[in-house]
Amino acid sequence: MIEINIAREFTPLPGPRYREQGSGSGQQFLEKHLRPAFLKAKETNDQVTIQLDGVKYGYPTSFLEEAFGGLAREFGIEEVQNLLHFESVAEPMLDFEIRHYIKHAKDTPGTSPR
Amino acid sequence: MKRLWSTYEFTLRQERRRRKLGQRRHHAQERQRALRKRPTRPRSTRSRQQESSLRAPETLSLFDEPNETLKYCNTLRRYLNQRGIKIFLDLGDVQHFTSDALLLIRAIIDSSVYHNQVSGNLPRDPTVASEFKASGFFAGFANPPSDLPPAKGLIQKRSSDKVLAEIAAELVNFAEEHVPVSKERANACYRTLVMTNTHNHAGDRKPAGRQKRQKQQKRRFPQKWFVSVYCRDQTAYFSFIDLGIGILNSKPAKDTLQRTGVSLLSYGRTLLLKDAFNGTFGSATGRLGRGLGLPTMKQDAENGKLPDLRVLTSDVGGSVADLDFRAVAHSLRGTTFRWCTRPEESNND
Repeated sequence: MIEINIAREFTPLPGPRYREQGSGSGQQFLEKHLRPAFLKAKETNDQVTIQLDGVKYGYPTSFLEEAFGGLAREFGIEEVQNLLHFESVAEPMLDFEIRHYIKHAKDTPGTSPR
Repeated sequence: MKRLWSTYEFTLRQERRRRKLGQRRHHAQERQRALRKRPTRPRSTRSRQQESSLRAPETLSLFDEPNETLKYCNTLRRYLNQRGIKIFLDLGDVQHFTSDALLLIRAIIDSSVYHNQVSGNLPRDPTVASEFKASGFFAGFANPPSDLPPAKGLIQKRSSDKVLAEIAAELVNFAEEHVPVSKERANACYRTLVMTNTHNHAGDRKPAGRQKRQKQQKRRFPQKWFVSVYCRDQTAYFSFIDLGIGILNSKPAKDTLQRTGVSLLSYGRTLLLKDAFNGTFGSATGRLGRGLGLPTMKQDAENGKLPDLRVLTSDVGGSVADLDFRAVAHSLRGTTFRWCTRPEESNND
């Protein structure tokens, strides 16, 4: 099992959508952590577990959409839904929210489940 | 052998030299005379500056008294856009103020191009004056009042579209240190601050030919956003101001009108703002998955995570939770949001 702890490995303050908007962006997370882990899991028929707890003030929607929706746009909605597994004790609804962004990754405008 | 200085050529050369020397002297004298005639510049232009006094209304609040406050702020902006005017902000009559109005005044002063001298007085009412001094309004000023109490407010600004999550975290942290804020609301505040700061309010991408001119204009008139938190009566008030073109003049708004084939006049500004918060606009970029910012803010306001979320953009403003928007007489160039945290409600959530 491949695991990514966002707070520990990336940032405790998830930020905006794009890299040029500031530090800790969803785009940066996708490129540096999520995509490599996803590709590795795909190769080894494994799953990626994303540990969501530990960040200081939660996740901006644009961060989540760009990281997970962006992955779904790149590799397909179904495959991303199957290979990613989310863990959060502090905010259990995050799993539902992220899966919503993956499901609606190809919608414009995007929709928010909050 | 004939000596050179006794030749005819030498005599001619000497003659030429004398003539040129005479011409040079003459020109030098002319230049000196012209310089003496030129009027001398005054040593300082400061003494020549006019001073204009702007008397603030009794209620200085963008949402409680939008017309008077916007009129005051627009006058200030107009004066600041003229070169060489001293401005005196007469706040003596102010009886009530909210942090959003202070943030707008501060934003207008800080983003002025000519850096005119701005001074002012404090409200006559001592309670209001002490609240004003504690608001964080004077932070960063060259000559703040000498007896500033510990700040209950914090103002942050950025001069470009870039955002640092640290700024949002710093504001939420400041609120948590001064008033009780539930975890859920702190998260919603952080999320909203990041979203508002990255939301492309000005998002009008014009053709490539204009980009260079836009870039030059941007350098001269930098679009800034400002955020603040102010803690009073166990409540933290967050304000955000973007001095861009505003939501109603943004590209998604224009696209929506174009799509439906109606003019803004017949469609109505309030209806257009409702569409923006209902998520029917889409995004300025037209990219997939975008356009989540305003609908998410509305949902957070409805769920009580952002109590009393209000918006004012151009000449329309009101409560976001029930989409109760009304037109105001004066217009704000840009967009402002204000919301608060209420501890007594958060305990009952």
